[in-house]
Amino acid sequence: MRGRPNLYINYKKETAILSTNTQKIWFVFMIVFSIAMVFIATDYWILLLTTAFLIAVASWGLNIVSGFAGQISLAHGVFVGIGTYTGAVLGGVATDYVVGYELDMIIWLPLSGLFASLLGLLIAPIAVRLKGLNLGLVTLALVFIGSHLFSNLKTFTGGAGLGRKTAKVVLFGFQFDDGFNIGNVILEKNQLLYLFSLLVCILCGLGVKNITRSKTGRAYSAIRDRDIAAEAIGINLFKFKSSAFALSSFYAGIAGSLLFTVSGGVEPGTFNLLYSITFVAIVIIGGVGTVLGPLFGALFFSLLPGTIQTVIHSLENFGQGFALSSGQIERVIFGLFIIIFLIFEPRGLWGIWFRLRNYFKAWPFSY
Amino acid sequence: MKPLRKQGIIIFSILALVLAACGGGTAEETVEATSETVVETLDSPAVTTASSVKTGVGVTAEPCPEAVGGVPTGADPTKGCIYLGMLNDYTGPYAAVAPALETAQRAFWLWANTAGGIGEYSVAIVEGGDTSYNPQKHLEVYNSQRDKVAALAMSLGTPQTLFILDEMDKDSMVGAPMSWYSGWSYKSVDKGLVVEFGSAYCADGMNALDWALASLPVDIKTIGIMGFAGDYGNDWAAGIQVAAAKNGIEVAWEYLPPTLEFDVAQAVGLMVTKPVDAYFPAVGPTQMAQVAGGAFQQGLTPIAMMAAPSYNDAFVKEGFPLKALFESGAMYSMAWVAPYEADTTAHQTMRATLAQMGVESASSFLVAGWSSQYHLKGVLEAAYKGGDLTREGIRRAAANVYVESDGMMQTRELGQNRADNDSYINIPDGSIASGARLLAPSYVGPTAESYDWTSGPCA
Repeated sequence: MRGRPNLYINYKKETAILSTNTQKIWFVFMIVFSIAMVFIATDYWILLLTTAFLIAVASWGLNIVSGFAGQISLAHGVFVGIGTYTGAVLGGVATDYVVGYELDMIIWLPLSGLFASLLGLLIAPIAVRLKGLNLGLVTLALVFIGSHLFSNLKTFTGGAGLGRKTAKVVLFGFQFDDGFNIGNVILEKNQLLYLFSLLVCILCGLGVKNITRSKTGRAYSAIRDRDIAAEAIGINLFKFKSSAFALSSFYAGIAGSLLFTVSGGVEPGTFNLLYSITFVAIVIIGGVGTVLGPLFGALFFSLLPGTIQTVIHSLENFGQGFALSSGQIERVIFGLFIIIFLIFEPRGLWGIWFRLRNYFKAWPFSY
Repeated sequence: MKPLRKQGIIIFSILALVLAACGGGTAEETVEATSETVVETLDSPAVTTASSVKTGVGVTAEPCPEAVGGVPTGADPTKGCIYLGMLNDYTGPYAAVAPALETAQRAFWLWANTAGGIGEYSVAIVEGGDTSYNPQKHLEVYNSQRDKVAALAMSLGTPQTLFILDEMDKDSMVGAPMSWYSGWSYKSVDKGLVVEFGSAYCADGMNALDWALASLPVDIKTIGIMGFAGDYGNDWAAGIQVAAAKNGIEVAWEYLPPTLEFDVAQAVGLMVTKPVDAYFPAVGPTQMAQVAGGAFQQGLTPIAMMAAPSYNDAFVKEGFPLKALFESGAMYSMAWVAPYEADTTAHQTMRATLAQMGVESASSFLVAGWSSQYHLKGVLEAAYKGGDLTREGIRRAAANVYVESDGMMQTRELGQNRADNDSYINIPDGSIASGARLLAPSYVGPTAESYDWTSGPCA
């Protein structure tokens, strides 16, 4: 059906992960481009992009439970934290005051996701009985319980104000710290972590896309749109709400276990309410209930501060003697951007992408 | 329900993201190896004179920028540049004093550069990174600066500095701490990387009790200790416990919760339920004022021997509600150096340089910032004299060198696994600009005198 990309002659093709040639080409191009960035971008940008990929994974998790299944969760950061500390305990080094088992990443990475997922399942019974703001409040309480536990389980987290080192990144015995030589090019830890995070991001992204086209995804949408109606047509609310929370927490756990290995250390205070709210913001800015939205949101959230810094630094003597430091200016601009977005583009970055795509699709008859 | 929920999320999101702090890096520096003729500047027994200077990361043949962060560096445009990192707390519990610390450090190098620099190099501190007094952010900021600097002009906080020590070890990154943990004097803890200055909280704690027993007209039989666990509280408490045991004093209570869990009500409650003759707080200025004020409201004004970070000259400024309490003669503060007005060459130089920069304050944190750089300067001079300004060379120099500070602190031999034992004892006084009148300079009590300082860190 060349030249008629929107004509599907069977259901399987229509629901394919990449349903058009354009999508396939873009997908391959973006992967090649992202890999090429390892050799082009500076360490600073590599760091930001690695963080962006992992935040995207965590945001996809929130998007599954809130965007697809319509269950509000303000405690997503807690699950990221659970993943972080599971990874840190299993893969970290023991010291006088924290435990660590120095296991291989192949063990601690999936276990971080699974453990977070298990705890996600524990709150599922509440999610079935509550919805809307009430559910939001319960998850809010979870943030405070999580914060308290993180601060006080010193053997695992190091304790408030002190923190601990994260897992050592060792995959099948290969230490990321040692770097990797490809001919004359040496890939250092940051670059290897970038590539690994990219891989995790791609796999998790494909996973999310896969959910949307499956029976589970359709059940989530039905629950989101009207849970009573969903139940009336035979959807098991308990089963699907539970699976949404478990899946969401799994994504958060995976992202959390890797997120702080970038810097190498984590302090319990990180996983506060603000942190959880950040994920809500990322999903809203990116586009709620879309597959690409959280990725856009995560890139926006992680890269904009760096961009603002670069601009501020390139303007020589900008801000000298000014009441605000460059960091404060950066935060003000960042906040303004968000307000502008929410007023003028409530569908998020995905909305912009959608209109842009349609404009070129319809060209020269765009309006 | 739905629009309300959406609005709630939107408002939360805006608030959250406006507040979200995002760090960044400074411009990259090109590093070049240079070969220079050595100018003799330091008479140190630790190093031998070499004929050329080897340089590495953070040392450039290009001159330093004229100004960083709006403060002139005083750098000589004909000389190369040694860059120093700065891990400061702009948004955490020490945000109020961070500018004073930074100003004094930049002022120090402005003076040092004007006075000749480090041989054929001037020194510039890069733009400061915000650690929020959080170990995780401390590490992130360190990572963002590690490839640009030869050493650290400041690493603020004891647990924070301990947190990055492994990375500093990998990089051979020497740094001046902004904390007085006794462990900094021992290689078993600091791996020879932390260029300590002044006496530690442990010695201050011993001296505080010894001096109070010997000099105050109060019969001290029972005492209480409060501080932050995992931070300077432990070191301080260990010193006081040693002095208490030696003097047969009863320690009625010890309140040492983690920094974030310090509960003023609980601290005041202890003072009310278990009254003591004197208490020894090693907390932040905010908690200090609240605890002292809270106890005063309950009619309690025991002797308070405050560790250096607990006291702030704002306590005795006109208009402060507790000014009379702090000036009542019941409160005393410890320090590792004499206050701003002291008459040493170093103090005079500091005052002249800060006046030249238009700084009008006389805060003890300016003295802290200024005094923190002397020993680092000594180490850099020794490394230069040894012909090796690479990080490894600087580390070697830091392991065995005499450093002095124009009379501000004792001349000290670094790397000897022995902490200083003298303290300065002040009384709050609003009539002096620094808010502190020196009562006992370089005091060493019997406990600190007889203590085996080669035995390792107190806590």
